[in-house]
Amino acid sequence: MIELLNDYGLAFLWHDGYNLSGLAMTLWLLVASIVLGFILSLPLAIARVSRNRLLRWPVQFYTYLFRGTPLYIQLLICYTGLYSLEVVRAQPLLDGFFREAINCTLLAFALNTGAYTVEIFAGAIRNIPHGEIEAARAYGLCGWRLYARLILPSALRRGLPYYGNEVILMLHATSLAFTATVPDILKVARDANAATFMTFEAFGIAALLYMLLSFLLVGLFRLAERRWMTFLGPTRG
Amino acid sequence: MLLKATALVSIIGLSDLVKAVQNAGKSSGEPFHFLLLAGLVYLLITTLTNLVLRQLERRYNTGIKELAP
Repeated sequence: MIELLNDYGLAFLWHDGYNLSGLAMTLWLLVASIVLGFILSLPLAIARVSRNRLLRWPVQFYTYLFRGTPLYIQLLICYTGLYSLEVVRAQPLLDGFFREAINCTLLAFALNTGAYTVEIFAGAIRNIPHGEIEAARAYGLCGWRLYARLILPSALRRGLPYYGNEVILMLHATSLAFTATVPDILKVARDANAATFMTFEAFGIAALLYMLLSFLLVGLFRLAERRWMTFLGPTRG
Repeated sequence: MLLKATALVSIIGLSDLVKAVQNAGKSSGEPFHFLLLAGLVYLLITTLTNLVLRQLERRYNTGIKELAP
């Protein structure tokens, strides 16, 4: 156990001697894919609840596609599938992008979590009470101002518990990155296991790290909910 | 959710759809088309499950008033 920690402790936490690995890599994957997915999902969620079918249907198709297939298949398509195509390799830009495993992984993760986030926010927008929107209209808000001042802030708050759940599920999903040779926590654990045969210890450390991250995220989202969702709860006298 | 988690068993060596598709992709040299096919199969199963669940929901929620969408 001690020699395992001596040999692989640093790799588990943040550096394997060549580049980022372990905990730092998992965190980077999580933050990058969550941020990209969030940016992607806001406009798409508005399009998803639009009355215009030309706006609604493409987004519906996108979420159907990405929520209906396993993330592993999406990752394989991005990582091995696309790069095997002649068209992709002929384009220098695409070739450079898809040659790096981390780019393929981030693309697949961002598109996947984006699809789930679109549905979360679209559901939250649909669940805003009509009275709130009528009140905003009565105050003269309309068009994008109505969205920026009322609908989006309210929907983001209402969606917060579900969004927190999605972020934690995404943390667990990042453990798939090792199949694309990205050195995240699980990849380091597998390498340590292959080199030392201390299977229980190697994967035990990985499990502990993931659990620690989950607890941290749960705590952060609980704080965020207390901060931003108090207006939905009963008033304390 | 569980259906999509089953795609992971090929990592620990079970021979499921994903494994078969990867082998086919490797031997034929065009993994892209086979992976798309696998995606379609999963999509088909999730769609069918969704339809069945929606029918069940309609059948057993008949007494409960639904808000107009």
